[in-house]
Amino acid sequence: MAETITLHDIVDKTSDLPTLPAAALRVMRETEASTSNAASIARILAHDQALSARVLRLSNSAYYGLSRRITSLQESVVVLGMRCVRNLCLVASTYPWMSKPLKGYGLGPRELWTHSYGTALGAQMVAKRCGRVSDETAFTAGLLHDIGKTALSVWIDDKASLVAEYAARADITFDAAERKILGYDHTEVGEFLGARWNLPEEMVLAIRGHHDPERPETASLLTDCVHLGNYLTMALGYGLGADGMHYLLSDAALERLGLSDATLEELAGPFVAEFEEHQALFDDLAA
Amino acid sequence: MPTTHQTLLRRNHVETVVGPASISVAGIGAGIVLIAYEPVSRVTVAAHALLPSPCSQGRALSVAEAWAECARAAQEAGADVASLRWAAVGAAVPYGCQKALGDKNVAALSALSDALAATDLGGRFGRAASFDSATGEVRVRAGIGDERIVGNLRD
Repeated sequence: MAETITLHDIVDKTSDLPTLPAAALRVMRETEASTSNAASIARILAHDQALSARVLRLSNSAYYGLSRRITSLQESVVVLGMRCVRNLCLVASTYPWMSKPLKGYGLGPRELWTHSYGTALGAQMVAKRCGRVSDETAFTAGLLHDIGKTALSVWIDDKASLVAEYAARADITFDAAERKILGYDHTEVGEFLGARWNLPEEMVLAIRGHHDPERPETASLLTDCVHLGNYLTMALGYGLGADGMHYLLSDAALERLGLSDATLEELAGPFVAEFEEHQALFDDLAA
Repeated sequence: MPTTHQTLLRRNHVETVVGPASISVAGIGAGIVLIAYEPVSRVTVAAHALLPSPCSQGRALSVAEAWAECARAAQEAGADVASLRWAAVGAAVPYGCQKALGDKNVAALSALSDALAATDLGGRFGRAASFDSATGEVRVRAGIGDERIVGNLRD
């Protein structure tokens, strides 16, 4: 297994580490500003040609069922709405690297993407049901919650089954096994990455706390939403890798949000339906 | 020689095949996949259930609904329901939880039958499963482990 490594080692020495385009981050912030409009969003996106092209292509996806073709970014915002284009930016930014296999976590092509998008959907649904957390923020935090795995995967490499077996033998969670063996777990690496990307602090804390929502330093209703969105995604079998469901489920997170386990069961059907409906969008992403 | 009908079972869905069948399903988490086979009529039915009981919000197949629908579909396809041999796979649970969905699904299944020919339930790993009517084998891969045979629906 790897020698003692630091977070800087993990992040700095891992090749092909993902980045979030500056334009995507700026769009995220701009959509929260009261002065934002279609023109301002389009101007920001125009600085990143590759991202712009992907957003435009996704805007014309069969998923949206538009009767006419969208030909400009500004039109995309007008027709689809600011929130939708914001999410398309995030999706277009993250899909390329989230669709790669992660050997260290036993995830094949597109499986990290499946799990991350599922958690984004789940966290958004939980936030909407609770009514006290921005569902847009929950979507983004859910989408990015496992970014730490992209870096840590290289260090686990082909030892994924050993980490899982250690967790089972020691009767501890997978993230606890990561800390024992590697010194860090994927939420700590995710926190480090998220801070480096200048993500909003509440999102960085939710990434750090998504497996342990009782942890005081990262506790928040947003963290609870991501935690439960993650559980819903795992329970429904989306993107389960070597770590499977070997994580804690917090009943207290449900209570804090004013929800119950019956709420999660009610969300199961709509979750699966919405995920399957998005398949057309995923196919366009892959094209 | 009749062609084997290959089916990928999706969540919330029920599939019925008359004749040679090869059914595969991936992404089994806390839900339960039911597979039933009747050798005389060569009818195979399979369902991927998500919840322990019918939900008022609809749109999610419960274990009880899946069982009933499989039996109904099998009978409609010409099978003797009493001769169906059943397999159940899934019901993974998270760590340290007392009210996990997987546990509830197993409880719902237990209320329906205590005579399953093949099972692979519980644990903390996602599963992929397959059934081949030519051999009767129900195969399961849990997590990143090796595929293994958990039972036979022709024996």
